[in-house]
Amino acid sequence: MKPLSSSPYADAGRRRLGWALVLTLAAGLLAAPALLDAGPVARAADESPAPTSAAAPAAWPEAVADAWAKTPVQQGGRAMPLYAWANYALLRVNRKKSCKTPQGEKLGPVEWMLDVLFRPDLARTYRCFRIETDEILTAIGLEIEGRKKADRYSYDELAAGRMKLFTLAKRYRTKAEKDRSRVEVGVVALAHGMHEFDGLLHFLDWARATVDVSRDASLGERFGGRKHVPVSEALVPLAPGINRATEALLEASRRNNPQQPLRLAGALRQALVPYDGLGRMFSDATLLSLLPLTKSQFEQVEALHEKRQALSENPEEWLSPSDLLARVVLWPNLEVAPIHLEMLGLLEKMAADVDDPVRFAEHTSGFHTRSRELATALGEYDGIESEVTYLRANLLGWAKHFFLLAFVLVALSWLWPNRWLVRIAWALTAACALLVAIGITWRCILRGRPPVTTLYETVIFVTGSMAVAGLVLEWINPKRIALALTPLLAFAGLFVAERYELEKMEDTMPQLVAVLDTNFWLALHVTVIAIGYMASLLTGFVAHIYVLGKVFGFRKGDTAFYRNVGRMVYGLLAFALIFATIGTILGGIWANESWGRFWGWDPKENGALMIVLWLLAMVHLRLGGYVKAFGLSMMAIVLNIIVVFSWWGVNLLGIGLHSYGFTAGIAKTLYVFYAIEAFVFLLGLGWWLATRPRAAPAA
Amino acid sequence: MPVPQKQESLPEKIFAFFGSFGLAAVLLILLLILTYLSTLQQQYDTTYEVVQRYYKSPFLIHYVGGKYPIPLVGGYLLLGLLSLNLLVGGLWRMRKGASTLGVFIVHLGIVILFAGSFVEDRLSTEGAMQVWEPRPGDTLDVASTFKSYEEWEVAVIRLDADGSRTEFVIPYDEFEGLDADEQARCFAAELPFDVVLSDYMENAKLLENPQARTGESPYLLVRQDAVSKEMKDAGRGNAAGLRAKLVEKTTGKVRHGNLWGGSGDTFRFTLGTQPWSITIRKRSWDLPFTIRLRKFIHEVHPGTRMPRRYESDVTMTPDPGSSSSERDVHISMNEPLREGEYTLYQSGWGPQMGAAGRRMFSGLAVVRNPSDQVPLYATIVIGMGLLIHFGRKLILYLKAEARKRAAAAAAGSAS
Repeated sequence: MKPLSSSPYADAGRRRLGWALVLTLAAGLLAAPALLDAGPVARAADESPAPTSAAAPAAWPEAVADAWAKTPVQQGGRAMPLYAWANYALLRVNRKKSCKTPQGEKLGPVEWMLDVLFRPDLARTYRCFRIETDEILTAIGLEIEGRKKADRYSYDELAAGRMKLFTLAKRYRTKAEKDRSRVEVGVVALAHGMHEFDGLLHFLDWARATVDVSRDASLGERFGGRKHVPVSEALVPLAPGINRATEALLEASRRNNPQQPLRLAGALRQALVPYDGLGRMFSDATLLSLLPLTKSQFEQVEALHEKRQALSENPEEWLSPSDLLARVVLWPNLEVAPIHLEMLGLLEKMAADVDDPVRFAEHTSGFHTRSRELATALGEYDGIESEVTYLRANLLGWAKHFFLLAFVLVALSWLWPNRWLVRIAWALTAACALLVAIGITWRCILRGRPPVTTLYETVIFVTGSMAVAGLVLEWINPKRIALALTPLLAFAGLFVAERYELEKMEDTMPQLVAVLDTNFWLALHVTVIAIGYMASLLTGFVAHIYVLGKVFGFRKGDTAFYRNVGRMVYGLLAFALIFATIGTILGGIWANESWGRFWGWDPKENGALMIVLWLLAMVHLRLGGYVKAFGLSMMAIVLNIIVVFSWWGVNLLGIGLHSYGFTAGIAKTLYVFYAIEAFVFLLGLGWWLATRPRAAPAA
Repeated sequence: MPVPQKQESLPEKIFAFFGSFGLAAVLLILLLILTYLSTLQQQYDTTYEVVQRYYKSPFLIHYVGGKYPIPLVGGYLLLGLLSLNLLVGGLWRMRKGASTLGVFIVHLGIVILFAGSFVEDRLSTEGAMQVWEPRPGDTLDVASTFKSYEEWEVAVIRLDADGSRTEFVIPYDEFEGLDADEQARCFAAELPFDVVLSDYMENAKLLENPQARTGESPYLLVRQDAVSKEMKDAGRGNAAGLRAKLVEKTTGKVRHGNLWGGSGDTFRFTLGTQPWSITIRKRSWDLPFTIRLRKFIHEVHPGTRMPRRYESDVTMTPDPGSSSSERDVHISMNEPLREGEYTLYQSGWGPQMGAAGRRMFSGLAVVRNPSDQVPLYATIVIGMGLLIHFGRKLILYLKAEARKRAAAAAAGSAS
């Protein structure tokens, strides 16, 4: 049982902050009067972009959206299609993977992203900020009439409360996540969403700007007498002058603090604020690392890294436009690839030709082609298109709906007994199980990993294996009990997976920390323990039929029915015991192999142990004759609570080596589940107390 | 006609009780409750403290919400009773036959697992060591000792004129748990004084003592009761403290000093012309070999600070007289170095912050565990037993169902 680390986006954010400081310094130099005189850029970063169109914008051509969808970006330590990144970016603000324009047109994640990047003035009017309670608005000093308590708002509507929002969020972040109130959680999430949206809105500000080179005679000559030139053209000729100046500044900072040259550079930024301009625009261009390194750049950085001379922790980092500027400005010894300047030029052309669909499509195609070539040369494009297909196919979403349909068919067969209804339900459940299996296999291929490596994947794996186990159970014992339960539980499982994804709002295929980087143990321990969870939950849910059937008098007197259900509970219990026990011990063996200790009493380990102990207690009480089928079923309901505590509940404690799945937002759902199970248990207990045979009164 | 029942004698009844299903179930449920409460307690205490209190004790009091006391049976007693129950009921008294073969094997596997855990608990040693990337001019890349995570020791150090040090070590067991009014007197023939230790503080801090008179320690050693879990987890605030008194053997003269784990030698003095110092430090052990770090590999996933890979290329040089020979070893996650009874695991790195070009150290966990592989063998035995038992049950059930269906079909065709 292994730990995972915190959000990669937060890490990237910190790194970006450092870059932003450096870039602002560089920008100061770029904008220095000696070089460019005042105001090197045509439009300051703080200004709102001028509206490009007042009418409803034309829809993005399919080819454009498709090319952008398949454009690789590096995020969270991996190359992913922009489609995936846009998916989660939209999810983070809107809590759903689509958005509506004021005209009512539905936008997918890529179309939304394109609007934010290239038509920021329009994107600011889209109501794509989901706010769960209007108390959040009150907290940030906004009053917007005529809206529901939980509603969606546009960036422009929220802009007035922005400063207060960030001030409050800064304060609330000092609190542990589990101690934050609902409003505080909402404020922090909204601030995060606004900040990210800001970054996207301004991501291409530099591409919409030009550099005034007319003040410097030598530069003017160099650019053929033009007054303004695009940034991508101006960078290289300007670089030597900038380099000399920044080198001098960095040298000064190194003398003061050899370990932290960038910190002083950041402080110097303060002195250069009056010259801030283009650099600030570039410092906004950090959110997307969409420029893969060239092969020779990679080799150069890798060699520096090997000698511990590189400033980055990893030689494989792709570049954002701001990283590229940093290369030009700060490290003249690092290669600047012409293809990257070409790609910047294409982004500028796209920004200029945003209202010309044909030219925009040409530039997009050019950008995508170059991006694909670079990523392919690094061996990082292989799964990009397949991942887009996977995400668009939405297999798990389809399976969820059809599982529900299968359950409805079985339910109808209770009202109108018809063997065709049952057969169709069986076939539909099997087809859905197959869809889930294909989805899981697809993910395995994309990631090159076994099926279960994250909390999200445990849910879909448990769901898929539960569907298969349910069908096998129905085959062994064809009484339509398992057939009714299976699609319902599988629907619930996929619903939970979807809600979890919405709650986490992060990549569901993240990179793994070093300690988890072993496919052997991931495949063995995690898969086995997940099957243990599945079997235990299935035991518990079948037991509900026994207990609730008795309580509500369903098939009263039908001893064969209850004998059957009782046998299923016991059979599943045995199955659960095998997998939970072996899975738990395998976790210990893995820990022993990697850390040298078999058992560390970590909360997740304890949770798994609790399941095993309860299963063993059930078996021993049954064998000793202390409980029979009803008692065993009652215990199986408690087993559900223990499994859910072990699987999800311990993550809420936020402690231990396995706190990777921490999600404060799911606490309420868990408590509701515990309460429902406790209620069922109490119903069963009440029925048992009321109906148990009493000793005859003494004569 | 009623069947006469055999009367059990009291020893037989006791024997039956200790081997009963009921006792097994009760113990399992009590262990579950203990596990649950100890898990919740980890929100407030470190794992080490929780393990010591909940599992390495016969009894304890748990406070619900920090207020309401509940007496609990501790892990030692529960596991002891469970082992007894397993031996008596699960192996000795159990009916032997084909139907119980699988269960017997499972119980045997659990006994092996418990035995391995017992050996580990009693005989294993755990700690950590750091080796730095090689750099000319120092030997930080070489290490042959490792330090305990939690246990302390007191070292009495004689600083000889030639610059060498002779150490006399007082082990943790001698002073752990000493109250202010309890004393442990330690002596050695080679020492010109006895050392009297008292008032052991698991978490202590040093405060400046502005009222200290000449010759007195300028610091006050005070117990630090309210140490937050975060501070302990971060390794801050959990420095042990101890009061030491020296009694010279020849003159009976007494000197007082404070020992504090948060700094180096806190109690220095001279006897005649001989300088001495006494210090409390993390308990350390010598390895029967030396580790030299040749290369440390540390990678994060691009654009993040998430570790992707940390690995060490080391040279292991056995002490003179050892039967093994020097060899180069690559240590990575899940691929430890095994040498004799010792296993060295890649456990960390540092410093965590700083420029990317910084000199780094490799953190290695060191374990000496005679029962290292026992859990693996036990798992194989338990797995086999479970498969035999429940596999047999499933086959019997399927056969019975098939017979029922055949009978039903035959009855249907006959009618």
